Amino acid sequence: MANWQWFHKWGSPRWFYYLSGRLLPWLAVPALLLLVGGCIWGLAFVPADFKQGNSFRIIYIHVPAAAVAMGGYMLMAVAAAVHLIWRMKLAAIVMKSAAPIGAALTFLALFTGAVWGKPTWGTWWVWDARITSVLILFFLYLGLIALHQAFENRDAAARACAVLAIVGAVNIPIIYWSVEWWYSLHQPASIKFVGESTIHPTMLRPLMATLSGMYLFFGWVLLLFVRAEILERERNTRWAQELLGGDVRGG
Amino acid sequence: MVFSSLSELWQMAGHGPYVWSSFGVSALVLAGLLLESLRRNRAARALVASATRRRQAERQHSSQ
Amino acid sequence: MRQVGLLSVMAVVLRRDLQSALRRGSEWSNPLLFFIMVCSLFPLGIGPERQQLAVLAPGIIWVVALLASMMASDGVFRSDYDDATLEQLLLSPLPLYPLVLAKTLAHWLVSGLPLSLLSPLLATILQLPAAGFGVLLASLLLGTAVLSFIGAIGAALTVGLRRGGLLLSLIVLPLYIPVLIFGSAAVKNVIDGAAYLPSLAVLAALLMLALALAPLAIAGALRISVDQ
Repeated sequence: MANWQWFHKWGSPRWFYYLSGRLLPWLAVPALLLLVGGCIWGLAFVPADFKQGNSFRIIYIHVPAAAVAMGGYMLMAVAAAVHLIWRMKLAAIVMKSAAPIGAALTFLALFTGAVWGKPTWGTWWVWDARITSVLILFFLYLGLIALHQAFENRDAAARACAVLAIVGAVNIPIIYWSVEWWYSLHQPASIKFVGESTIHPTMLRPLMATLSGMYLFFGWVLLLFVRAEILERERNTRWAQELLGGDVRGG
Repeated sequence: MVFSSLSELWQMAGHGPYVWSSFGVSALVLAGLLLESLRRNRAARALVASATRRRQAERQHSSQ
Repeated sequence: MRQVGLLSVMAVVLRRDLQSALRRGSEWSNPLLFFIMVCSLFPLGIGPERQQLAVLAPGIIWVVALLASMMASDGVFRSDYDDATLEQLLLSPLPLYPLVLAKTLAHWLVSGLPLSLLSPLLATILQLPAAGFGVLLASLLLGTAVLSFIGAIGAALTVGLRRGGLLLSLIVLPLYIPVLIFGSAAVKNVIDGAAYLPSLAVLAALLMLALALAPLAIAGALRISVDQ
């Protein structure tokens, strides 16, 4: 029993540090290739949309950012549940590390959405259902980060944020659905946006590239943040010091 | 390429400022995330190194 | 311990909370005063035209009621935390669900209920058409109950922090959004002559969901706040 707890307390981050080190290049290289390649493809080699012109090319960064921000929240909620149920510290680190990345991607989705709105709708901001939902997701991320910062005790911060992340994840479907409903209630049909169904397959392929690239990028940067946090927490352990070349056996 | 020249690619028939500012800010934010994560890894390594030095100093002190 | 019925536990907690709220009048009167004052600011900011106010009234009343309920939420567990009653309650072998339910119900009775009952007065000064009064009252009765549950989650998470007040609003307001949407939509619908029952039904469904799940989150959050 004691051994098993020792494994959970210290062994797991160490194992994760080794494993993630192996994994990093397999995420980094395809992430960069897909993101950069997909953007060049979408910017220069795809014909312009016949309704929106060239501004539709923003989709290649807007949709991946929004999708991965959403997926990041769900990942955070899963990590939160794992942390609360099994008290796994690694899960708390994953949850804490995912929050700033997700918030940054949500900001990107909002910014690119606003810039896209100007040539499409003639205004920087439209209270459209999807943009409003992303805005609320941004607020949820910021609330989590603010709550984490307010605690002085690291473990209490992780557990409180885990509760909030799960509450948020339960609420997200309700929020999205209610915003969708609210939009359909207020939106005059004449301003309806071009439906997604009109997207041509040639336009879709670069989107698949940047979308998968963004997921890989998220995984890559998440691992980097998690590794930094692990090292910081484990700096007094023998394995961390041996790993970085310190002679811990002493003179 | 669907554009006949680089300057046409830059202007995108009037949508250039919107498209390029979107991609530019995105590149900045993503690069910022990456650099911040690398910076934290460096800082964490420095912490481990100083903890190692402290431990070695203690060992030497106790062995004397 | 088996002899202690859940209902009697709830009744004890409820009576105790209500008595202390009545003793300190500010607990129930401050949110009400806030509700009245902020609602009266809107005509000063927007202008006194009746038509315009009538259009905005459902949204204004709902947003201000939401803020008032949120500010009241900050105090749900505060005094119990400060005098360590909360710790005693958590250490007791009683199940937490009914305890938390009773505390949230007490909070709603001293904040959401008076806010809802006062709403026809504010609807009058904001020129809301008389047809909307009944649905406004009904939507607020249902909606503020959901707000009390969500607010209690935020209060339970922040009760151990020294500067909880503003933080509470950051974590709770995004979660309030569905209630705001369906609450104000119900009032708008009845004024426009559209069906308002679906919106009220959604509010009732949200209340059932909150009733089932929120006490679990509140109980978990309280344990964290007391443990630290």
